[in-house]
Amino acid sequence: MSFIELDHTADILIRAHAPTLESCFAECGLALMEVMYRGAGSTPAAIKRTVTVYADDCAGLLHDFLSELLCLSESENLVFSGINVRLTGENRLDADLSGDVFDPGTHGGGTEVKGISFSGLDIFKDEQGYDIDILFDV
Amino acid sequence: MIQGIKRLGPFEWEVPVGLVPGMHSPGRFYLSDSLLQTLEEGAVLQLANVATMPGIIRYSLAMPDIHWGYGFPIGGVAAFSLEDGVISPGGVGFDINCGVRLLTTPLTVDTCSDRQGLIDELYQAVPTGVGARGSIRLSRKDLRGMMEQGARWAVDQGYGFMEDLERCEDGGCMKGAMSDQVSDKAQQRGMPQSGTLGAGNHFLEVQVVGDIYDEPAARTYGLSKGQICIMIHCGSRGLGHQTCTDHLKTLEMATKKYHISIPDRQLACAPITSPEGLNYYGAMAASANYAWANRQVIMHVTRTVLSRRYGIDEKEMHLLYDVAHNVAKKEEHVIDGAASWVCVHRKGATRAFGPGRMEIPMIFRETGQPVIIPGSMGSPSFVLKGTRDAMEKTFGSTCHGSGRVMSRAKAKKSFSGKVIRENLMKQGIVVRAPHDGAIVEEAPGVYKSSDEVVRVVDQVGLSLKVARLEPLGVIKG
Repeated sequence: MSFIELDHTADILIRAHAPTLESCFAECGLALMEVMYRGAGSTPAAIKRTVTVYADDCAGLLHDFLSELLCLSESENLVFSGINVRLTGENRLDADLSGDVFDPGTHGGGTEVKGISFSGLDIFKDEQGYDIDILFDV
Repeated sequence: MIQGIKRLGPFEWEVPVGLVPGMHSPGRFYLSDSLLQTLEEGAVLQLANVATMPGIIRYSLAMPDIHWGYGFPIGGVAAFSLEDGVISPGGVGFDINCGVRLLTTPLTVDTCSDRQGLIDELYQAVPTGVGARGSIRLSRKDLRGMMEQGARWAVDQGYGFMEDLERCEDGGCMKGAMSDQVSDKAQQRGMPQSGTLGAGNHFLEVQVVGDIYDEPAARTYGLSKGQICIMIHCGSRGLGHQTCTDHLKTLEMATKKYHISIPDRQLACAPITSPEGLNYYGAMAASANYAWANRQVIMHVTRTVLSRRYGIDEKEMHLLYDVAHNVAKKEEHVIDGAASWVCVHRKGATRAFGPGRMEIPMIFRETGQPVIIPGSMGSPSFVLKGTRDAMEKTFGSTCHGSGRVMSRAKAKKSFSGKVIRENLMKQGIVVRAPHDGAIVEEAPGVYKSSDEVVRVVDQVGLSLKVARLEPLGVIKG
């Protein structure tokens, strides 16, 4: 896991790190799953889904991708452990997701995420790759 | 002390115009000296950011439970002109009509036996936590009913009584709901969650009335020392959360379309009278109604459990009142000496209308609106009454809770769920939660003192203390 939880009084602030922007987006998605469902990463890849979002800029793509992931997970009761993100052009993101149905016995230790916030969203690049700060409203 | 803020009185502080560029009005907030120690710079900046939004009236306000959120600070209140003002999901939050209600019972602390058994049974009856599915099965038509009729829909389905409706803010149904502005995705999220409590800071708590501060008001509200009450705190579940997400996107485009300059994307907004603004208002109202229906269903389930366990009639358990603390509403207020309709955003703030307002049920009108302030786990909650001072100072608003002071990450490093559970048990408080993490994140000590927050609103006169409620048992989401 290449993400950590930073201090935020009310909500959950995550910092993700990865060598590429696409993999850093995927880390943010895995962080979202881990916050919602403890131990999400070991969920078998039994069910697959795809997501496509369009937005005007990079921050918008990340925000909308995570919002889609949250909505899909909650409405279909799915926990995702595999996330592969492709940025196809400036305004489009495609993601392949794999996971399984929520099981209270193994996934019950998390907290509910209500939404993905633009406040606190920061994407920055250095010689090691990309870092992203993202805030989940809980 | 945070640079740039100015003291105006013992509890009143100003954020002067100019703290961030583009402020149209100053900010005002209410804190005691001890609460000031917990004030975060991020919250002050968010308060100042709100003052940059077009059409803001008088002040960008915050209650004593102010803390750093997203968009508006938590505890933020702002009124906007209907003519040239804006509406923003950032001033309402993801959990539209997150709110709290208090059910009174004829039981006393002596007659409410086997409280562990009661909490266990309520825990089984009210689904809680991540992934929980509701026990009621809804059709699309039912869901539309919830969104358009609110608590009334639930009563019509047999979940409660007609008298419950008048004891809800807005009668449990906000006018202007547009269910067609609630997306399919939002409906899919909301459909299986009806009747569920949710997670995070949401809870159902068995409480006993402790100190009474205002005997006549307590009598009017039906409260007496030693009486058992049930407090229910939850919101619009995934349906409201998704509605916020969906409309944030359209309002972000509208912000550009109407050439509105905002310092934070989460403050995306549109003129209240624009198509985008009206659509958000309609969707928000539909989500608020879903939340009222949801709390009504949960209260009914609670009544059923209490009735069965203690042999009391469901009609002996009266809803005291139900308040929303995340909502934007069109209300009439006196602005510069004249009555005007404005759009008041309350994000983590409670309406606290004073005596005489027509919105208050007749039985409470002379006393003022009941205000219900939940404490954090293991700490007292309060019933207060709305005031005329609040009408003048804060558009009839007061605090909504204690306000966090410690992050969840730090809480997890600092506390143990087992130890907290045992300590609360020693104090006579039974806790049930899906897992220890839920207890740790909401541990006593991660919130400001509810006593101190309520003392400030009482001293400033934003609402006045009526009764204090002590926790006996809590179900955490």
